[in-house]
Amino acid sequence: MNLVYAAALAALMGCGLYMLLSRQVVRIILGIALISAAVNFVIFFAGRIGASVPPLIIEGETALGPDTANPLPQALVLTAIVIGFSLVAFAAALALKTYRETGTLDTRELGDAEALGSPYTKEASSK
Amino acid sequence: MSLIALIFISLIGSLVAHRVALYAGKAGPWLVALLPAFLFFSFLGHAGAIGTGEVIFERIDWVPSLGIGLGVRLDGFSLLFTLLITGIGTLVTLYAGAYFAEYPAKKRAMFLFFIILFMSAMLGTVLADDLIMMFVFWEMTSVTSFMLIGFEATKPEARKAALQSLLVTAGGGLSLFAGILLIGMTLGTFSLSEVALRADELVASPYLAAIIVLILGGAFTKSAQFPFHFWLPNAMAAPTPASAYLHSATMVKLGVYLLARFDSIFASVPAFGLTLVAFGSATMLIAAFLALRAIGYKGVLAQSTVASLGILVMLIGLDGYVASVATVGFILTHALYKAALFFCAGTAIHATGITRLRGLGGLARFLPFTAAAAALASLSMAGLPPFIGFISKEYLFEAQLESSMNWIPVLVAVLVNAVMVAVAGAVSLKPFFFNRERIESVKHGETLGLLVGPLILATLGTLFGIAPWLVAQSLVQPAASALYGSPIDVSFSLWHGLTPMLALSALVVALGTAIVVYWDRLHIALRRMRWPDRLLGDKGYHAVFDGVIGAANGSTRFFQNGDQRRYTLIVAIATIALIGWAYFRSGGNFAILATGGPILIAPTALLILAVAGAVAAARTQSLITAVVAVGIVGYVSALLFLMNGAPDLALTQFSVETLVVVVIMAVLVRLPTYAPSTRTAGERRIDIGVSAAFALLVFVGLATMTAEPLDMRLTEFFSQRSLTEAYGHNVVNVVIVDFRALDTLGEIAVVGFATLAVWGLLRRRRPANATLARKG
Amino acid sequence: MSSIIFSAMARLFFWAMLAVSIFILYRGHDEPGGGFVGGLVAACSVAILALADGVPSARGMIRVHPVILVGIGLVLAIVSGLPGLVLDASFLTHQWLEFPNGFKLGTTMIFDLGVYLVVFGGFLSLVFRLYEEVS
Repeated sequence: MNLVYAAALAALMGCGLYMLLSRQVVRIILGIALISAAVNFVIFFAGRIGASVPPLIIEGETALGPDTANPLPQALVLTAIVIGFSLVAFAAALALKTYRETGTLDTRELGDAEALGSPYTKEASSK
Repeated sequence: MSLIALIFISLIGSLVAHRVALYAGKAGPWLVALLPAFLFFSFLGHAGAIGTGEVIFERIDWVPSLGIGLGVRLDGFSLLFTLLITGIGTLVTLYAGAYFAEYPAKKRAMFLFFIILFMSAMLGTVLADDLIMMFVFWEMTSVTSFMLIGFEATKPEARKAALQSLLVTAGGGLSLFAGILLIGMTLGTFSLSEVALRADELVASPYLAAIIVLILGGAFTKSAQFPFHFWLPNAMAAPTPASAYLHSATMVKLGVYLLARFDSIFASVPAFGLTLVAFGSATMLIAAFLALRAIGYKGVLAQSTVASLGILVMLIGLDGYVASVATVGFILTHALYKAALFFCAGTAIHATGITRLRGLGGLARFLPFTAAAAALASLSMAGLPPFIGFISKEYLFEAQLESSMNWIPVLVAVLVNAVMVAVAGAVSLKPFFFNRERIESVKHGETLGLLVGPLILATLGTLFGIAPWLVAQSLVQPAASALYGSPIDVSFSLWHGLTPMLALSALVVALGTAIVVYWDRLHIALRRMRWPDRLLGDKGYHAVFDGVIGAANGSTRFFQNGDQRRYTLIVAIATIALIGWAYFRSGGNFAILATGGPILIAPTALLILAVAGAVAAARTQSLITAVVAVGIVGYVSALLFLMNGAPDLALTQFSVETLVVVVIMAVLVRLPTYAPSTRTAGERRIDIGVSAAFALLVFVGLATMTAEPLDMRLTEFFSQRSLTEAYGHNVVNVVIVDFRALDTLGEIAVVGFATLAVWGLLRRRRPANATLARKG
Repeated sequence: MSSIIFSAMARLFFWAMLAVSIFILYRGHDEPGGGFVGGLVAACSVAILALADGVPSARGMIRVHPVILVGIGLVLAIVSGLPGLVLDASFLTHQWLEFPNGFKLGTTMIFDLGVYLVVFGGFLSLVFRLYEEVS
């Protein structure tokens, strides 16, 4: 089963990278969302999958039972999910703002900084 | 007074000097000169003890963990240098005050500040016993000389020359630094005196060749040896006081100083001496040749300085104690006459505004004392008796005849010294005494400040020639002994009897006289040749310089071409290559199939659904479809969290996915929802390949990871302590709000700031404000 | 966008989900839940309201500016660490009050409330900003 998980996560990562390589801003953002979902699951997966009992200490016990899921990656992933969402939301807002200002979401046309000229070529030409 | 204290006084004094020169008016330079004069006499006070063979050590720990300290050492050889540095420094300060008399006080003060700062750096370099400290001061001389050469910052050639000398000397300094670090690695110490004691260990080191080459790199760049001989003549763009100080007496001698220090260490390596003789001879010949071609007054002097440095390097390469005496004698002699000649040249150029040597003539009428000083100094340079230059030249020939080298260096030395004689004649007789018709009047005459320096130096050169015992025992003997490594007796005297050296001297003077007579004709003939410009100039430097800038431009254009996809692709490929290389290096020991467990139907079906969603998201041109497809992946992972004992994660993921759809949809409503492909078919194929390779690496990594045993210590810790110490049954929540609360605080701060940024980012501006908008 | 049924159901859902979110927050220390999930659920509840009745009405319902909620949340989270700093010389080491009947009250509750408010306010500001001009 581990190999099935590994293969599926690898496929998700591959698709995410493919979207990330696009020149369309929204597609890049969705690629980030896809990769962050996959990475979150990778962290979860790294703590081993198998036990289906939640990591709750049963009333009367003082420690987790032997068959409970690993709580450590869960704690890491929980905050990562929320932060990943904030990042995607911020990127989406940035895309919206960009579109309002420039009327395009194609990174090839978002060249305002490059249009100012390269500091390196300026240095070279004044030599 | 403590040596370290003297260095600090000098460093702090540079700042004081700046203030003094700024506010003290005409008296400023005279007051500032008190500082180097004070230092001169402080060092002179040590001369008695040093003369008896004593060596003064001082040390303050700086970085004790690395064994780096402010270790200073004063022996005969460094004493000679400190006296030259501070003594000539005093005269340069006075001369600069007069030279810049018409300049604004602000500018004059700045110049004096840099001169004193440079002097401090020089003192630090020659006093340092710790190699790291020496390197720091060494580079400080490069930087301060950059400021001094480029002092007339409005002139393009000054800036260019300053940059060139900085790149060459500071670059060579890095080579020296690498050599020093290798020495430190080999011996475990940076102390020069300890290195000298353990020279045999160093010579046995496998890094020996590298160390020698790197140190030679530092010395040859600093002392303008072939193939780095080009920067020093170009550096004549500096104001003349700086030239007199940096390029005759002090900075360029640092390379010689360094080589002399390492000569005894590498004494048992024949290749070291041979290399020095070879490069020194090459430099001598080239510089002598270029001296005949040089147009500017200072240019001729600069080329002859390069030739002198070549002589010194060659002398260090020779074996025998006479070579040590000759080295020390020539360092002293050269500093005295060359600084004096630079002073005279500066006065002549300043008074006439003419820099070409052949444009000057008959200046003795207007500048009589300067002319006298120039005459005395050039006689010493020509090596005529009874000047100190004569003694030093005798020693030069004696060192060559005594050494085990063959006759080639002798021949080179005869030729080059003949040119030196000619240069001596050309730079003093012609501009000051002959060709009276060339100059009708001068802009100003001599002032006291302009005269003190050249007169004192020229007089000393004469005095030491007539009365060599003044310096023989007190200065030359200890320095030569320190250089040679064991005490030697110096019979520094004017008359040696009828020796082969005397015959060589006579030959040199005869040849030199012939050259000086035919100087103009020779000069014009040599100027007609074009090949020296191509072969001996700084073409190589410019090729390297332009090459570096071209490579930087090219790589910038390639890596940062403004296309976001290119950047992402480079990062992705680099990551893949790095991880792939690590896999490859680990030997392909992948225990992939070790663990597996039965394949469960429900999770497998869910994973297939997720992958289908991801593929759909990647393929579709409709952004709405893509959002929904990415949402599917999120919900699937939420379900998988739920099935694998993580209800907290499942809840969070469900809520987040819902909000993602809500938020992204709100954005998409205002954007074109159909996004045609932005990549060509070829680019897409590349991207598919890269993504597939990435996915493969991830797969191998994850499959290998699960085969490894899991470290459960942290989990055990949280499991044991959650209820007993933090009173919570939900271990996940306890970890978040208690054990890792500080992390969580940071994370909610990130969430807060990200959303705050969105709040500000999407603030609606009135259309009137939208001038930044490019389209409408 | 004005559907009476949707609008009415939205109000119902709003109150129900808000109550649930507080419940999730409260029980988080012992059962699945906690500040993050609670905050998200609460944000969802307001999102429904905003979708149904528009942002102005939703903001009227909340009354507090969402950015202020973020600020209060951060301050609460920081303040919850101060007792630990004073009593234990260790910031964010949570302190507990034990009552005679076995009931325990800790500063973790304040911290989790801070998390809840930050997440709630943060995502609320996203939703409000993005839906302000839609309807």
